[in-house]
Amino acid sequence: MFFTREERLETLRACRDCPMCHHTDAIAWVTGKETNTPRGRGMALWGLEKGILSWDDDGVSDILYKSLLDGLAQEWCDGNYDHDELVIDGRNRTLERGKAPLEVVQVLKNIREKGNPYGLKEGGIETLVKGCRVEKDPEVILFFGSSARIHRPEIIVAVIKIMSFLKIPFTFLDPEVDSGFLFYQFGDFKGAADYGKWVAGMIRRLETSKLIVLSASDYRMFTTRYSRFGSPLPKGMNVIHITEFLNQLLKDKRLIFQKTIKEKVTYHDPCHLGRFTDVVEPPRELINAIAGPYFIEMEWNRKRAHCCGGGGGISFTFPEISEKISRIRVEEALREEAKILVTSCPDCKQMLNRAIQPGEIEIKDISEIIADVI
Amino acid sequence: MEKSLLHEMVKEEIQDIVGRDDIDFKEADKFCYASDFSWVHRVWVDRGLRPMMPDFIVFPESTEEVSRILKMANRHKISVTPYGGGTNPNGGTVPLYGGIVMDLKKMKRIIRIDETSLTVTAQAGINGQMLEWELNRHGLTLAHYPASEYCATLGGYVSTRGSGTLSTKYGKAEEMVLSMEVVLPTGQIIRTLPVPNHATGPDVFHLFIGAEGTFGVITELTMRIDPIPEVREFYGYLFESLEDGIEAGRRIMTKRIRPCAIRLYDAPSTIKFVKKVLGIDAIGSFMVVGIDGERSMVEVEKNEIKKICLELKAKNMGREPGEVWWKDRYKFYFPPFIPNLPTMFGTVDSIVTYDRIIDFYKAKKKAIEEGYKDWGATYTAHFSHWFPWGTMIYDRFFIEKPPQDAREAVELYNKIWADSVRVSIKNGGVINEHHGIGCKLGYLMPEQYGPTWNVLTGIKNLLDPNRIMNPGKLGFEVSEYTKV
Repeated sequence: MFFTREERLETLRACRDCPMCHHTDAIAWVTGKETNTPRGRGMALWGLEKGILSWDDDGVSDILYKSLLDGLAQEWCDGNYDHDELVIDGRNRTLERGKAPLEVVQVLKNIREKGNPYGLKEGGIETLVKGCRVEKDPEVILFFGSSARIHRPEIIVAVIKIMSFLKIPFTFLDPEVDSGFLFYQFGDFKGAADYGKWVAGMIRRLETSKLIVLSASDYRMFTTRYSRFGSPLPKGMNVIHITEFLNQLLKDKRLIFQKTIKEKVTYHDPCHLGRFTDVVEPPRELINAIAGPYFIEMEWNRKRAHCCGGGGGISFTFPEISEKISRIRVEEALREEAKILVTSCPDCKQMLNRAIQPGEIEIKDISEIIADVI
Repeated sequence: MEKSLLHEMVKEEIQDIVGRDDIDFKEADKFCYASDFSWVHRVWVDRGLRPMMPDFIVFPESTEEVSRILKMANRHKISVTPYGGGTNPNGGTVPLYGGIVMDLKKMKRIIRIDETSLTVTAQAGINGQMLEWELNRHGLTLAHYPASEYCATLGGYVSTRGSGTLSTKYGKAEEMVLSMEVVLPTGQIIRTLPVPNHATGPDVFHLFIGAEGTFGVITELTMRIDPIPEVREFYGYLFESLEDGIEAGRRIMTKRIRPCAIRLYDAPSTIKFVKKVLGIDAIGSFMVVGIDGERSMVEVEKNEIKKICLELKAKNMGREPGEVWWKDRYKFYFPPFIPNLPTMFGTVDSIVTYDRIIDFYKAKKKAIEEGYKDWGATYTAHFSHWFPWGTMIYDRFFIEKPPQDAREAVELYNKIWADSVRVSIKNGGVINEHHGIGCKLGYLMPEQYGPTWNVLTGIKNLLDPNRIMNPGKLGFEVSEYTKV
């Protein structure tokens, strides 16, 4: 969708015959399969382009949906080809022909009908954080995201604790619904546009111009995808990731830490924050202020960080592969002998947390470690 | 496409060996394995033509599973095509007769790093770059840097006798092997001798190196590794002529100085290369020389090399061109920098002794530029892997506007190759130096080997009586295979 026809064909021709980013594909590393490499996907798409393969053929949708869309292929590519956009375009074509995996159809249905991809009935933010209410004259909107609401409410607790401590009045959507990022990832462009318009409308009615986002994929959705899908947020709306917000307060000396961490801490860059939206240093400055010399980097960090295993929606479509990829990332942290693996996205925390053995390491969101030391 | 009952029965037998997750048979999956990086296959698919498809792709996780699959394939007379990274440019990994593609990439364990003897033992399906990074963490290196490093596997390196950019010092992959575990085509698992140098008779080990999967499946290898050198430096020298450059390289190698790399570009590629890397125009024959190791040794060797180059009136271009080339050495394999369709191109590399190399180069150049003048064919060459007795020539032909029709393109392509290869053989060279034979060049093997071809075909028939291993490759006879 975001390519011109020429760009799409050029990218397709580049990927279908190229082995140069083969080793960056975590799914291919787990499965050992050529079909899960960027070249394999390029080959399949070319076959479809030329009619050697048909969209009805078995295996087409699996090849396109078994992709992390983590941006690492493009990052590695000296030709800077956007492999992920090619795959998303392929997913769109698959979905429109009714050939997407059943899990994809179900997840998008869940988001539309229940406001979260899991299809679970929710009780609202007040049921997660006792006594939490929308405040008068809010300065900021907090957007917690579905992963935090459903799986990682401790992150919401930590964020609210920080806001209350700083005496920053906040509001939030009540009930809060998903940002709709999975519509984009799964290739449902019409769904992304329709759903996004609805969410943007709700946010507009909050009449507050600063939107603080916790999840990296929600952040990417609001900052770069919404306007492309024609459902822009209100003019003048300032969308900021929580790490940027807190880092600014740290620099302004409004956020002061009373304690430090004295065990080895490492940091996982969420793909949609580090690689896709350049929010690389703010979380690091915060961790540095808390852990100083105990903060060590993993080998694959910043723009080259490996995915947590949640990319491309595969935790819904191919959960076993997703979990193996999460484990690989955890082992990278263990290799540095870190006791705490910090990340700045509830989705990433959820992915990494299910891949740890008891006692070997703790996975923490950055807001949790900050809440502990203020 | 409706599958036959036999297909279902065979599928069940395979699943019984590898499990449900490690077998693929859907149309789209098979298509991904039906083409590789050979120009012939690429142009076929580019024009929308259907390539030869496999029937199954299997992903064994152990030597045992490999063995059971081969036994099963023998029973049914189904062909088996081993597959590592699939980066061969000569069609080595494409299945021509249906059957099973055996993708080794799940067999990727590093079994042991021996830091005393400096060896590594690993399963054959491990990705080259992943292996290198793991060794680096221990301060060690395989020092094998082919352009395919990000994709190719250890087994593939050795099966095709591949080269890397530092092979002049560290050897081709074939020279790094100590020992292998191989599954013979009939399913028997063997281990070669523990070391490659001995006085224990003619060695079976050599049969599998370069066999491109036709003599069995390599499942495990023990390779020599090296310490990461204290220093590694690259220098550029511009010679007035190719002859001077070749003589410089010859003197360096025959004085037994040990550069890690020598890359000498002929006049046309000098213009291209220097412009690309340094942004300046240069006329002559450009050489990049690399030296690595302990600092004290590097100082001595680089000065000896400088003396030789200056004796031959080279202009000293300093470190920058060499270092830039090393840093960007893989960049030129990414699109849009790499030669690509629609251009027709082929690397017709060969290797010959020093006494013949200049005439060899001239003959090969003439064969392309005069023989295919009507097509506007151009020819470039550089000399990138040097040996004590000779150097390889990495030469390429280009035709910017090949036929649009796939069949015509393939016909022209094969004709150019046959002509070029016959010039190589006639002038004391070989069919190929490090890209392998695959399916494209197999028919020329009897011309190369002459009466000794019977020795190779005899061994093939002995090891693979049903001729199921990678049929259609290396020029060996094929059989009739069961259609599943």
